[in-house]
Amino acid sequence: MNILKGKNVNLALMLFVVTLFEVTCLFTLLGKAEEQYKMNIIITMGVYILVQYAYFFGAKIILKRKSFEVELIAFLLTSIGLSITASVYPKLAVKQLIAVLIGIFGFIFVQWLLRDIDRIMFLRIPIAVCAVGLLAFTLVFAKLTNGAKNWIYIGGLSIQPSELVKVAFIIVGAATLERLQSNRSLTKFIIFALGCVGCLFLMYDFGTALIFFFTFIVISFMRSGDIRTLALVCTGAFMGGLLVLMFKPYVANRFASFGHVWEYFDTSGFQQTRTMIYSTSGGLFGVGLGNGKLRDIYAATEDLVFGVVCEEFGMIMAGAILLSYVALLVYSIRHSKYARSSFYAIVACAAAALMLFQASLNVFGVNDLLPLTGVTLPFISRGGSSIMCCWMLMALIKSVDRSTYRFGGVRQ
Amino acid sequence: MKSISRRALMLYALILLFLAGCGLLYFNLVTNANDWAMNRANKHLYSEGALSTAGDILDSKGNIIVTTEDGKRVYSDNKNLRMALLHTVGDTSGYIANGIQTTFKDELTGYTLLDGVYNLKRYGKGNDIKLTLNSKVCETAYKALGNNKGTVGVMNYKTGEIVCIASTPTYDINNKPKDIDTDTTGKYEGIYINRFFSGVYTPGSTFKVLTAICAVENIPDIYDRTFECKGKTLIGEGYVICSGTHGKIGFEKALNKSCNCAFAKIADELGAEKLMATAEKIGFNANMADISGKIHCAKSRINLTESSSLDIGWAGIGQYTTLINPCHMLTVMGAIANGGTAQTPYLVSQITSPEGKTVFSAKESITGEYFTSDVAKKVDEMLRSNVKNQYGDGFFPKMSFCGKTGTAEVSNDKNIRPNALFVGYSQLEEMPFAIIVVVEDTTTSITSAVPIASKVMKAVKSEYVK
Amino acid sequence: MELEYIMRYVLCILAIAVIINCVWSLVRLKPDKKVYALLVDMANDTQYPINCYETSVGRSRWCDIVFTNSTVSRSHAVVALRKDGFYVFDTESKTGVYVNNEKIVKKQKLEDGDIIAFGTAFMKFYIGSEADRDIKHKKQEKVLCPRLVNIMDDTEFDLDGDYITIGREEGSNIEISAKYVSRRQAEIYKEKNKWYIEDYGRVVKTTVNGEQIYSPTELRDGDVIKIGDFAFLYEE
Repeated sequence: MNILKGKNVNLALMLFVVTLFEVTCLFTLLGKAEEQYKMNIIITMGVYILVQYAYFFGAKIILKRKSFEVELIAFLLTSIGLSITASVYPKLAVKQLIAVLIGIFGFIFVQWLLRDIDRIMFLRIPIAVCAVGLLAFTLVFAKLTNGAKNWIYIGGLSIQPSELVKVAFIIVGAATLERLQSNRSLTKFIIFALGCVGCLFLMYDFGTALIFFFTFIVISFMRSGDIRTLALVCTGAFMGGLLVLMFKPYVANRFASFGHVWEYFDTSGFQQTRTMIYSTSGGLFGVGLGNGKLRDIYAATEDLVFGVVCEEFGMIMAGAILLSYVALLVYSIRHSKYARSSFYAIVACAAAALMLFQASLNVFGVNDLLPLTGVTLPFISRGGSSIMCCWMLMALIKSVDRSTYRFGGVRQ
Repeated sequence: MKSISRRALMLYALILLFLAGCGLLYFNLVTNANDWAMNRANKHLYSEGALSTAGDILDSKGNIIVTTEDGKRVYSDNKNLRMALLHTVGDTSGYIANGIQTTFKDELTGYTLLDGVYNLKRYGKGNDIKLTLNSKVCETAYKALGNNKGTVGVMNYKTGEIVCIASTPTYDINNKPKDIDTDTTGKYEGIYINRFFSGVYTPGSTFKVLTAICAVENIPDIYDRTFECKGKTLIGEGYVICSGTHGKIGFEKALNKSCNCAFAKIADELGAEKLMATAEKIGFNANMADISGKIHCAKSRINLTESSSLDIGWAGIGQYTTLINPCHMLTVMGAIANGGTAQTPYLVSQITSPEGKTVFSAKESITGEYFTSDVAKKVDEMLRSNVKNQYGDGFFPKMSFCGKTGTAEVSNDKNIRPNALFVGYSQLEEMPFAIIVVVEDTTTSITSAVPIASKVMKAVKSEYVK
Repeated sequence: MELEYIMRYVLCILAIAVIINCVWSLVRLKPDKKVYALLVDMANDTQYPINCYETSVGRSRWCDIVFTNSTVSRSHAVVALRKDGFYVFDTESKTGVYVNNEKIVKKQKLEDGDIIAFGTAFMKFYIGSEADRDIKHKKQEKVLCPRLVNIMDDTEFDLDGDYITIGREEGSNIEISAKYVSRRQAEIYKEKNKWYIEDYGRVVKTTVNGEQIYSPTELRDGDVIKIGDFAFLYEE
């Protein structure tokens, strides 16, 4: 049964090209790396490529899947991020790899979790409790790092719980059609969202709070279509934001340079101006992996990673990356009508919209089209929690495609 | 599911917004690419705020003026040459706005949108820029200016090549004076400015050349006229003072003697409209095209609309509010020498990529037909007569030189000395060069500007005439 | 150095080849429409194909299947295809959802051929594609004279005479044993080649298409006659 009209990409060919890309990156990295880190880099990229093959083998041969575009994009983007990490911080490459592997495992796990609609609907309440609990725990036990209280340390490992909560947030927010029809009220979800966003605000993690708020709006709209309530919520949030700015002026100071970073060249506009300078230095095709200079600036592989991609891989590739986020959302929207349940439609659209929104906060933030909020660029930025979250979001997106799961159709 | 999927369609608005943002982002990146990549903070190009990797700058003979060695810009060993070329070549820290190293920074670094700064990685340097300048002549001009503030410019009026630019005061780029930014005596006044391109001066008597052109164009019997000079003459409600008492004097003689009375009367007769028309036709009140596409020149200005007869009289002898830019004035002189056709001056003759490919090669072009060859010829004859009969060919031996001096009063205060100017050119086929000399705060032109012009033109002759 | 220079382009082209290919495929491909089941309106034979996994039914225009019947709530029910088959969910409708004449609580699994009533909108539910449906339909069309079809069990009662009684009374042409049905509940008779119905019910009234009748009413093809929980479809 051919679910899709037209043909899917040729997996073997695309996988070959992706591998070629990764191998090229590997050799470029080796050419630049110091002797002591070469082993690190080989292990990182090598294991990654192997896992990639294992995944596609499993999906194609065992699960007999037909479409792999989403995974191919995820694997390619991850390999770009991994290469940058391995190039800038070869010491941390293996650590990042482990996070990626956990992420891929999470991707498979979440797909399994979402398989049974009754189970996942039943699990929503415990998930919601866990999510708020985790955020509250972070709020209490996290130490202030870089002006935000969003990291918890467990035995040398640092985790950003808000990233994992993103996935939970979307799952909790979505519901099947019969539930949406029988219970139109958004109250419970609003309370849950308020809890999450409130915790993030208290952590001073405004970027993530904004992402949660945005996701909340998307989910609520998909659920109810009730523009009036949402307008009310938005106005309330806007007023609340203004109040925060009024009573905590130092929050506003963070955004003071927005719009004219060149005037704050060496102070609050430092990161943005450097990103722009080096982005353009790379030209359309970049100066080559490892030749960049932006990497010496603070948070280059996290907040400013778009600049690093522009500088070292070129503006064209950076544009292609942005395009792939768009494609994921288009994919979710187009499949939403034919999803196995409105739950999957909402989950996928919200996940893809979240990713796109986060990407725009990051990319437009460092290029001064939006205030700099310090969120990560999905898949590309270094950071374990972030990459895990992205892979799990991919599972949510993937679930919208009814061909992902093989059962449930009508026997013919 | 219809309701859900319809609502999902709203997300296309988000996509549109995102794409619009990306469009704006890429528009910004592409249009500002040169500016941003050339930023001083770019460590690909700069170290400690100074351009560290860039191509060479050569003079017209191929001598290296600036090069890069071990990530440092290295200038010529000759101190005088460094001083002479400071403003033209410019510095790497951006103090001198119109210097080649500032205006041609993307060419020097070899930056392209396609490859970014990769060429620097690849070759260790950017493109080489060859100038039209002749180092020897520039050095001579700088030495001739001595301690005076001022500028000298020489150009080939047949091609437009600028062969000499000197602007003082100047400093040695290898040894920048420590008190340069703190000094209050005024000895470094305008030291970062290239006076040849960016300066504007009151033209003084050199403007009489333009008044003469206007007269030749508009008064058919001008050669038959005589003018009465009694040391001063009444124009409108006041007097125009002359440098001497010339008695009865003809048109050509009036130009030789630089008689203010005669030219004030001519200007009065021509009137504001005709003077303005001639001046604007030859490029006053309009921006000159940037030299070699990048170096900006100041505008020559004249405004006589609402001026009294007396003011017009003064304007006719180059006082009043009229201002000239040296580079523009040189172009005008070139046009007279070249039969009315003004060549576009240029400074960069060739840009060569590190692989040895010629990226850019200057083409001669014409700014405009400033006047008819007939008018040019008549004025040319009078200017020749100036040198032959007034200043003496001794200054310019065997050069068949034409010229006009000017002494511009810059203030009513007697303690402030005037600026001396000289504009001129050689009629010789083998030596098609025009010159402008401006010396600020000096005595008379014949004692300051003309000797400088003489030295420079002799150097030009020895360089270009075999 | 030269190698690196070219590698930059190669790297870029490789990545873009993959991304553009995938993006193009994601943006272009769309799942094809597929009919999983059919709802057939018993009153007028309108077919409502179910081509989504979850299909909402109701009076609101936002529903996937819209009934204008006034007894149907704005969002009445959801028919959903789950792992083990079709279910119908009553989404807090006012008049309830009936499957084979039994009111459902929250949800009920559906089988092929089930009769679902959304208020007084009676639907026959078929699993599978439209082609199967047509075959079944044709069988039914063989009979030429008007008939009443018991919606619950599909038994047909041909109207071949010109006078028919419906009631609890023994000997009625259509005998209904429910207590609330009057001994003589209704009469259907033929006059000038048209069939009329007249109500004599005392406890419950006889309705046609959900509306109570006060005088002899002409029957048209597709009308649903309802007496308490019993419903008949009039077919010509």
